[in-house]
Parts: sequence; C-alpha cells; structure tokens
Amino acid sequence: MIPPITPVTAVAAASPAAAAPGAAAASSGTSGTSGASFSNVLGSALDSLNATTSNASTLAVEGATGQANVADVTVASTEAQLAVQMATTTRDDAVTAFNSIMSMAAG
Amino acid sequence: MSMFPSIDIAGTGLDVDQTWIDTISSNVANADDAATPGSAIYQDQEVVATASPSAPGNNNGSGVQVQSVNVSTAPGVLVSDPGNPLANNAGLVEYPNVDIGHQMTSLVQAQAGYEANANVLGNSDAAYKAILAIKA
Repeated sequence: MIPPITPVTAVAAASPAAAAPGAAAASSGTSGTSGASFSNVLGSALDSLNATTSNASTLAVEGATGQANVADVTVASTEAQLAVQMATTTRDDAVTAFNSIMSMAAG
Repeated sequence: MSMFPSIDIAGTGLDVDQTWIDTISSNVANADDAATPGSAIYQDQEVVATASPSAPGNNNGSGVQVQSVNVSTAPGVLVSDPGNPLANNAGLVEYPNVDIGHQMTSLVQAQAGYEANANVLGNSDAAYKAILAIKA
C-alpha cells in the first residue's frame, strides 16, 4: 500500500564517498568501536517506520472489514503514530543541527 | 520486537483477554443447549494462557499467549423432562456442564485484565510521547 522507502543504509552503501567521511568521523568521535553511525541508525529507524506504518495500514483495512480484532488495530495504529512522531522528531533535530552548522561563520 | 515493546506486550495481553472473553461468551451462549443423552453436547471451553517465549538474551519477556483452549470432558447434566422432544426413553435431557456463576466471575476477571492491559498500552503511549517531546 505504501511504496517502500529506500533505506538510508543502502544509500550510504551505494555512495560511500558522500556518506563515509561524516559517518566515520561521527563513529570514531563518539562511540569508538561500536560503529553505529548516524546514517545506520536513521536507516534502520526508517525501515522500522516503513514496516510499522505498512502493518498499521494493513490492519486498518482488516479491522474495517472485520478480519482483525480491535486490540490489534489499536496496537498497530498506536505504534505507527509513535514511529511517525519519532521520525519527525529525529528529522526536526537533524534539520536543527544542519541549520546550526550552516549558520556558523565561514572564516 | 518492535521499537515499542511495552505496547506489543500490552497487545498480547489484550489478545489473550479477548480470547478469554470470547470463550466465556461462547460458554454462556451455549449454556442452555439441550441434547438427547448420549449424543454430542456443547463442552465448556477454558483458555490456558502461558508466557510467550522470550527472544534469546532478552529477559524482559515478550508477553503472554493462548497456549490452548481446553475443551472440558465433563459429562453434561441430566435433567428429567419427559415432555421435551429431545428426552430419551427414561425422560432425561442432557444440558452442557457450564457453570454460569463461574463464567460470570471469569468474565469480571477477563474484563479487569483487558482494562489493565489497555491502561498499560495507554500509559506506554504517554511515556513514549514524553520522550519524543524532548527537544534538544
């Protein structure tokens, strides 16, 4: 129902030159050997968001046609709402960080 | 397990309580079935719930599941009612061995369990929203 979102991890893997410097700096600078870069975290979060919203959409139809029970539909829609909220929060914070960097003095 | 495990777990509880209420509904609906003794008669159903198996390395548990729906093997109750068209030669009619009192107390328990799980779901939702509302 919802076209799949291309995971950011795949994008990062396809164009390592673009994503690698920042990602490498972030992982080596913050967590050392754990290696969970921001793009990996964001990519898995987007994959999860896609799966959650697809599941909620399927269950909404099944609930409307009487094939799923109320509890399952409620759980799925609640999780989808939270996942979308988490994605938008992460997006807002990323944009804020980007704007902070862009407004730095160039000299 | 998803990003919001407590909501999933509350959902498994809701599922089990829903199944429990469904079987109670079936038991009550069939409590007055009548049959000729010796023929098939409705049997009391009871939900058996067990903890869901946890994922390896996860000690938090992953909810509850319906292990099975046990069908009672207790014989029906024989009532003398010679006028009933289903009565046998001895004038006996068989009714299911469903205890309405037990069904009603179970229904109260199932309803309370359902409400509790729904509250857990709602409070988990509020908790997740609280962490998502934090801005840098």
